[in-house]
This record gives sequence, structure tokens and C-alpha cells, in this order.
Amino acid sequence: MAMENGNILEVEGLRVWFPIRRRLSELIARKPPRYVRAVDGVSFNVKRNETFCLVGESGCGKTTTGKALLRLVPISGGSAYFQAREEILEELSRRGIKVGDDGRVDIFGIPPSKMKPLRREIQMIYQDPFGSLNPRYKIGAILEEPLKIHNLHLTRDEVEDLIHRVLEEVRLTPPEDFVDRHPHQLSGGQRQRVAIARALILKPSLIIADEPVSMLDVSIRAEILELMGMLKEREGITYIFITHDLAVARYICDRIAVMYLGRIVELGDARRVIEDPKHPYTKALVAAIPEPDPRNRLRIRNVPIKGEIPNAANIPPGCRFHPRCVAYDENRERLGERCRVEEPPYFTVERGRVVSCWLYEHFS
Amino acid sequence: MASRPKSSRRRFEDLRRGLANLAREFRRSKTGMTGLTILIILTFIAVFFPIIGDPEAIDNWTNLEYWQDNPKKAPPCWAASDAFRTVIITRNNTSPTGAELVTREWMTPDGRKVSSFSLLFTVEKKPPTNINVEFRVSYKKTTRILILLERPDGQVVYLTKNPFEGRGTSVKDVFGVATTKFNGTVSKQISSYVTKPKNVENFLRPWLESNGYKIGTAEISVLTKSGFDILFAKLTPNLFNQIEYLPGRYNLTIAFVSKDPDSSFEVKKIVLVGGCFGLAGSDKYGRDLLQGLLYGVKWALIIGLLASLASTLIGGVYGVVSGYAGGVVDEVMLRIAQVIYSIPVLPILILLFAIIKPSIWILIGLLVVFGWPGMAIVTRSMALQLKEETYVEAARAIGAGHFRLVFLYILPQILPYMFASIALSVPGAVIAEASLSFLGLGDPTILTWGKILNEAQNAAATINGYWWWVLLPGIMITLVGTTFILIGQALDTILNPRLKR
Repeated sequence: MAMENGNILEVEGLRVWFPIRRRLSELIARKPPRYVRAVDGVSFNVKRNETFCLVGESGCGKTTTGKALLRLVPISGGSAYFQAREEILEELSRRGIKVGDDGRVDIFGIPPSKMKPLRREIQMIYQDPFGSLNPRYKIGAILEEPLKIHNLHLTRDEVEDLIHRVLEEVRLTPPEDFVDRHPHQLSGGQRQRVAIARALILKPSLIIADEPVSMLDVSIRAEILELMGMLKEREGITYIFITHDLAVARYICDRIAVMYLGRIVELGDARRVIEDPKHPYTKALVAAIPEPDPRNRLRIRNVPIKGEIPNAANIPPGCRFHPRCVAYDENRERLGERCRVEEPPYFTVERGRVVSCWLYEHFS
Repeated sequence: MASRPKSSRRRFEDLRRGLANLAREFRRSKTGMTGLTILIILTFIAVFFPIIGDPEAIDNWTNLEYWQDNPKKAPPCWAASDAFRTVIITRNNTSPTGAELVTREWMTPDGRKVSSFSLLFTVEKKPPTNINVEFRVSYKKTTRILILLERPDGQVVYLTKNPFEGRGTSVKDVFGVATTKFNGTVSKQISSYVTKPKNVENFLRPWLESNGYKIGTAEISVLTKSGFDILFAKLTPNLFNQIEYLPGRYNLTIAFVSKDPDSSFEVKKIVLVGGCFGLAGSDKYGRDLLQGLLYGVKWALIIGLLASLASTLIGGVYGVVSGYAGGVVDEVMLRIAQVIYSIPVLPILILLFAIIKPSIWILIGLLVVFGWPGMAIVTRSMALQLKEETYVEAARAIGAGHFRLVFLYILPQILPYMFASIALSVPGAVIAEASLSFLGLGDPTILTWGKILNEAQNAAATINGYWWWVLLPGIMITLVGTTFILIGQALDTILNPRLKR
């Protein structure tokens, strides 16, 4: 079924709630536990070999969503059906994990201790290339680590061959110049290439890239993005690309999900979302994209948003964006008190395009 | 599989280069090299003690007879230049030279055999503090003894009655053996003989009175204390308030007068006990403190290194595991560590050793038991920080297990800190042992600096001015402490680059 619609991943109602440590007085008073609702009911599908983007301000839960898919944060609820390779599925069922007839497995249904086989399929690239590589290991050892952990029964020559090939693939050539270096001897762009190489070496089908270029020099960003694009073509890799930068998103994404305070507010084709944003929040984000034309640099731009992002521990009732929503103020008469009371469902505004805003109620 | 050694060789190569870097940086650090130099010297002393020291002295440390010829409570000779240097005379050997023994034998007209031993020695500034005599004697008839001292000023002091006039003094009065028949060894410390109240009354008093001194109760009490010194004093009017020594050649004659013509008397040993001893002085039993100080290095290093190594490793791993585990496990582990950390170690050890028999190994064990939490609490907080590092999470995402994360990703980052901490926590362990021994709760079978200090305290060394007895062990303890602090600080500066500036 999943194969039919071409989805490699189907996430449904993902919730990641971090409990807030209660004070003793609260425990005695038996107050209900409070949570930071980092991710609060997120659903999306990722098609095979596409670049699916999660965009939003910092703190909106996009990184947490990515980590949840790797079970790096505790999951509070939801499901994530993943289409895994045959050998991985076999390995999983050998460990007593229930695998569907259609070859799909629920990532959130696997105990974290039995996740290991699946980790070959889903890899992560981090934002900070300075922090994501063990400073005590050489590049060769860093790349060898995944092979060791997954115990792939390779001979020494095969391992070295693999390391060389993957280094060539990320264009760190000649490879022998790099295997014996420590991360601190490389530039930021080179390190990010090593991180990509580490993600590639297990031949995953899904790579979660968490702001992979936002800490790099602007001059290097395009190179890395281009490399990622090339790998997508050549290796058939699917990306979940997390970014706060719509300019980058426009360049690389096939589809975009805009997140706000732990929820997706708008999801659709990347070009369409950026060219014609529907949700008031998306509109604000798009309006905030830096103006490339220097003649306009002095123009005061009108970004249609107000206030600050609320605390995820204290999410506003109703539509969580309403306190900052300019459209809500403008359309007060039409919308009434609805936005303050009731959370908007997803309205399909065009094919493959959903928006969570009462303004589009008429589309349903 | 044949390629396995290659990877381990590469690892080894890494380690070797890392250590080489460390060594290079360490060599540049002045404090570190100072500390290392002292440590090497100390280790040398500890290892080669059987060669450079006197193991026999340590074996006989509690055998007080072994030490009886040494000056008691004597300062080190480098600090007492005017003191008399010990001379030991045996039948065929005098060492060092400077004293002379003249032996003569003759028969008196009335058939008594006289065996006379004259000991000639020179006093330059201060006299001996005592004279120990030991004779092999054999007689079957009444034997009397004559002891007299000829002084450089011509005075002759009789320390016995004259056996040629009247009854004389019997052997029994001096050596406590039967007067009429004895075969064996006799020995006496002249000082204690001279200052016996009876002898003061009989011999010192008449001598001094003949020199015009008035002897009252006060003077008698001075004589019973320092009568031996007065034998070597200038006969100044102020004699009883301040002794001024009379330099020159003295002659101490001991003569046996026996009615037994077949009697035999020979010197076994005569010791002119000096006023100073060795490089580190002696204690109240005359024991060579230098040997104690040198020997103590070994135990200080063993106690310090073992206790700090074990507690740092245990605490380090415990802390990392606790911090890594997080949640309830961390909470429980941390609380346990904090509870132990808050126990005052010394009072507990004092209590424990009052109940159980103190042993050095139990002590080291207990120092570890109470010593690890400090390290654990620090490494826990470091692990809490490190486990959030992206590269640790990245490894988790790849599928690295707990063991791998703790021991290959987190612990190696903390290891340098632990190295420095091992060095820095050595002094604590050394001082803890010294404190316990000082309080008399140390291992009784092992000689440590703390134990020497304990004996010094029991002898009220500080009040009596036996500074060497207190100061030198104290300096040794400080030296070991300083050594490791220097090394630890140097390592700390190199391994925690943030401290460099």
C-alpha cells in the first residue's frame, strides 16, 4: 500500500512532550504534570527520493521531529510507518519486531533497544560540523565507526575500500589525505562532508539533515547543497531537510511543511508554498526572506507578524498562532472568537496542499 | 581477520603520539619538571632503599637493644657542630679514631690481680653525653672496682671508693653482679651510675666540696640531673647555673681488683656516646631517624598512589555512568555518592581503627571507599554535559551502544582530567595516613612518617626542642605532597587548555 503511493515514511500524530519537573509543593498538591509540548500532533508523508523540508522558527519543534524519527527523544504518541529494505525487515523480525505484510514498520512501535537494525536505514546529518565528529577520532576511525557498530563482517580491505569510496563520493579527495586527520584539522565545509560521508557509509534510504548548512560559510553552502542533491540523484536517497532558512528551502526542497509551535501549519509543494503562501505564519516567513535586490535594501519591509513566539510549555488555546496573527486582527468580524477557542483542522486548499487556518474553512 | 592487528597498531600509534605530545608539553612546564624530578628521586629512594638505606635498621626498629649505643634525642650532626662525635671502641678496633684504650694488668704484693683499662679521649667543645662500658669478666673470688676520671686540669675524680684503701666498691655496686663469683658480660652506662643519688653523695659531692663548692639540696638536685656533664665542666664559681665545658684530654680509668689470680677481664665494647647523630638525628631510643625517613618514602608513595589511583578510577567511571544514565538511576547514584562524600573521613577512620586492628591495606581500602565520591560528582557533571554533545548523539543515531558511548565517547574526554586529579589527590591520602598514625591509629607493623611524628609527640618533642624529630618527617610529608601538586598542576594546565591562559 505504501509502495503504491510512493511514500517511504508516513508520520501520523507524532507527539513529543517533555514533562516539566514538578516542585515538591506541586507534587503534594497533586497538580497534574505539565509538559513542554515540543511536537504536538504532527502528521506528514515523505515520498521516496524526494527532499521533504521542515521549516519554522527555532523552537518550533522541527529538530525534535527529526530526532523523534531516530528515537533520540522519548516519543509521547503517534506512529511513523517506514518502508525498510528487505534485509533490515528480516533483521527486525528476527528481533521480535512485528513487521507489516506491506513491508512497513512503525518506528515508534519498536523499543529503543531494538532500533539498531533500522538505524542503518535512517541517518542524520547535524547542523554543527564542529561538534558532530568525535574530536578524539581520526576521520578514518569516524567513518569506520558505523561499520563497527553494525558489525557488517567486512574484511579490513573492504572497510578501507568503503571508506575511500565514500570519501571520494563526498569529494574529499584524495581520500588517503583525509583518513589520518583529526576533525580539528579540517575546515567547516570539509567536516560537514565527513558527516555526510558517515551518514552515507551504511547506505541508508532516508537521511535527516538538520540545518546542515546553516553553520557554514555562505560560500560553502551551495557546494554542500549541490553535493546533497547529487547524492539524491545518484544513490536514490530521500531527505528530510530541516531548516529555518526559506531561501535554502526554495533551493533544495520538493515539498515543504511549515511548523509553528509543534504543529505543521501549512504543507505543500515547495515552489507553491513559497510563491503563494496561504497560512498567515507562512506569509510572515516568506516576507522575511532577505531581499536580494540591493536597490530595495533601504525599504522598510512589512513582515505581517507581531509579538514573540510563546513558550512551548504554555501553548495558547485555540489556534496557537492567533496571538501573533495579523490576519486574525484584520478578519476579526469574519472569524469571530473561533481562533481563540478552537484549533483549526487541515483544509486542503489545492492538490497536495493543506493549511491549518480558519481563514480557509470554505475549502473543506 | 588477518588485518586486525593493523587497526590496533594504528590505535597504538595514536596513543603513542598523544603521549609524546604530552611529554613534550610537560617538559616545557617548569613546575611539572620540578615535581617530576623530585618524584624520580623519591621513587629512587623507595626502590633502592635496601642499597642506599639500612634495611637492618628498619628490621630492628622496635628492638630497642639494637639502638642502645646511639645517642638519644640527638640532633643531626650538621646542626650541632660542637657536639661530641660518637666513638665506639671494641677489643681490637676503634672507630673513628680519636680515643685510645690502654690495658694493663699486674699483681699487687698482697696477691690481688689488677686489670686496668684507661680510656683516653679528647673533648674539643662538648663532652660525650654518656659512656657505655661492656666487659667480659670471669672471677671466682671477691672482686672490687675502681673508676676514676683524670681531667685536663689535673683534677682526679674518684667515682668509686679506692679499693686499695679500706673495703672499696664491689663489682655489685656498679654492675649488679655477684661480687665473689661471676662469669659473663657486664655493662653499665656511666652517666646513670654517676647521677645515682647515693653516688652523687659519695663521690661527686666530696670532689666538689674539696674544690670549695658549697653543696646544698639545690646543688644535689642539679648533680642528680647533670652530674655527668659536671665531670667535664670548668670549675667556675657559676658551675651550678651554667656549665662551661673544659676542653682537653680526659682519661677514664676502670680497674678491676680481684683476689682471684686466675680472673680475666676484657673490654667487649666501650662507647663514648656523642651529642649528635647522623643526618637526621635520633629519637628517644637512639634510633636513626634518617632510616625512618628514607624508609617512609616507600609507604607514602604506595599509600598515596594506590589510594588516589583507585578512588579516581572508581569515582571517574561511577560518575560517568551516573551522568550518562540520567533519570532515576542518576538521582540514586548521585545521592549515594553525596552521602558518602558528606561523611567526615578522619573521624570515621579514627572510630573504625579504634575498633578493628589497623592495617595499611585496610586503610588504603577505606581511603578509596571514602575518597571516590569527590571524583564521581565532578565526572558526573562532565558526563552530563558531554552526553549532550552532538557527536555523542550522532553516535547514538548510528546505533552505538551504552558501553561504547560511555567508554569510547565520554570517558576519553574526561580521562585527562582524571590524570591530573590522580596526581592532585595523592597528598590527601598521604596526609590522611600520617594523621591517623600521628594519632596512634596507624598500622603498628609499618614504620611511616606519621608514626615517627606520633612518637615525637609522645616524647613532647616540640616542647623539649627536639626539632629534627618533628620537622624532618613533616618536611618529608610536605615534599611528597608538593611533588604531586606540582605534577598535577602541570598536567592540569596542559590537559585542560582552558586553564592555559
